[in-house]
Amino acid sequence: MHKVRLNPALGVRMALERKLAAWREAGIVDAATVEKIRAFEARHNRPYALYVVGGLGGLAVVLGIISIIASNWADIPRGVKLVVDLAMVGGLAWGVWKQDGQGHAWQREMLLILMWGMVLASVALIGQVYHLGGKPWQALLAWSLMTLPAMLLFGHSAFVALCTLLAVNGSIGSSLVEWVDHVHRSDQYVALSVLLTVGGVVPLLHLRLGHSPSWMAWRPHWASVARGLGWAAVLGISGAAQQAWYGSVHLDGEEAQAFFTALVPVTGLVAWLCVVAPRLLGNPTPAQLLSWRVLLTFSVVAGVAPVLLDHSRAGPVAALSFIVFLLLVAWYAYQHANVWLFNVATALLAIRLLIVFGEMFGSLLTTGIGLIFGGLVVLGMAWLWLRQTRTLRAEIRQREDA
Amino acid sequence: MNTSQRKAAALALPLVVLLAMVVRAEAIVAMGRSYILPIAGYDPRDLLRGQYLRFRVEWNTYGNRWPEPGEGVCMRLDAQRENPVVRFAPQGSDENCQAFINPDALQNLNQYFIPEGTGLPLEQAIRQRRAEIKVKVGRGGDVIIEDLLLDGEPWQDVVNRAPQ
Repeated sequence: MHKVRLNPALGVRMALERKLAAWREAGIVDAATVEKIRAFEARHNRPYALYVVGGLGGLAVVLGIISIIASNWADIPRGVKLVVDLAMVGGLAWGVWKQDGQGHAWQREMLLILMWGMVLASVALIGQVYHLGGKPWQALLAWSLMTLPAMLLFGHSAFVALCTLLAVNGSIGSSLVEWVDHVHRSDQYVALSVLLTVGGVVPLLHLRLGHSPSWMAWRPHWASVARGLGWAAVLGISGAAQQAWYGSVHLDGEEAQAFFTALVPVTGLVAWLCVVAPRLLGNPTPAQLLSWRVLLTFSVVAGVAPVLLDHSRAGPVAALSFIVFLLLVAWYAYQHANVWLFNVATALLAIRLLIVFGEMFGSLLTTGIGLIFGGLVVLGMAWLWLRQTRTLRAEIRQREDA
Repeated sequence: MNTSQRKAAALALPLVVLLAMVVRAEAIVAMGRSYILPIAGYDPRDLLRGQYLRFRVEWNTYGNRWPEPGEGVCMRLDAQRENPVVRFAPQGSDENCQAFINPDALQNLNQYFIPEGTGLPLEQAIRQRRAEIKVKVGRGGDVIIEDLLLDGEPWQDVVNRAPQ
């Protein structure tokens, strides 16, 4: 039997080392292959936990500094507060520049996040020093826009991408809500149309950005995060909209006009995305292309129908619509080899089927029979899922080898 | 612009914007017209952002009305520094103003940051005294609150003198 000496000094995860030891014991890989795998993993290892822990530590430092300043507020002269604050922002910016020049990725990303947070704290500090007042959305919007170029040019990691995109979306969203609230009093149609249009178009634009070949080449993690956020928003809004089937809906007047107005740009963008999908997805198979187009189109239709169509309580429609929706998500995930999404979709499908049986039956006896039947269906699905994930993983390996 | 220059500009941008905010505020403090305005309606809040004293200005105007949305405050040409006589008017509609507070600045003229631990003594002091804010109004219609006054004195002097 071959013994493999564990070598944590290379920074390879212990789980991987255990796997390598097991494969070596079984004679599946030789010593040279083990070393090649170790070297590859060390080069491509993404220290997500390190980023999160580092980010939390940095945030704690910034909050601690702010708290100290706040606790001695009255005793510190205005000029000192501002000079120290601007010096800290400048120092962090210099640190980012230095680390970027030396190719220290983790240090650069952490200093960038610290600088990003410190700029927001500085905006708040200046507002407090001069008692400027102002609304939170103004500070958020100014902050996210003034830091966006630095985050784009220096931030390579998915963590930085996620923080930035969430902040930009959040600040634009809060500005929009403020504007809508202001306009709503005088013109409900305009306010609602803008809100619905932006709410429908922004997730689709994230999808477009996330599939942009130039973005995927320049900032692959940003593209991946944009795709994830886009799909999360599209699927989340569509899934949540199904709840509207459980109520009574009757839109008229300005509300209905606003929905139809918003529908025009949204359907236009969906149609355009479907047309350019072959280029966006980079030589997809026919099944991949079809699943992408069908899921995107159905998500929008399923998200809009419960709100635009007049109906009273339509529970069976909600159940059926949600089940079809989840089936399409699972199909899309299968075609695009997204094992995580496939697992989530099938799990949610199983839960939803159980809920259906609870919804459809009334008395204890019929509910019990329904649950037994539903449970057997779910067990059958679990068996099929187990078989399909094995097949999916094998197919992924074959595609990668090819 | 090459990559290095773009990167340097991106890092400098937040600093430049922050500096510009400070310079703009300091310009109002240095060159703005000073006024003392009576205030009322106190509601100290104490949460994550620190404490703010929320107030409303008791404008010295003819007729009992509030500014409409879109209206600013025009300090009349003969306005005195303390409790000046004002009228409400849309921005740019009336040039016979000693100073003009624009509608956006007016909307934000409702809170004053107070340090941790001073909320209760300040609230007690305000209930017994006349409260005013000392402001500087810039040429662009922006306002900076310089100080909170109680019976004409800076609030910190009054609170520090008060029995504990």
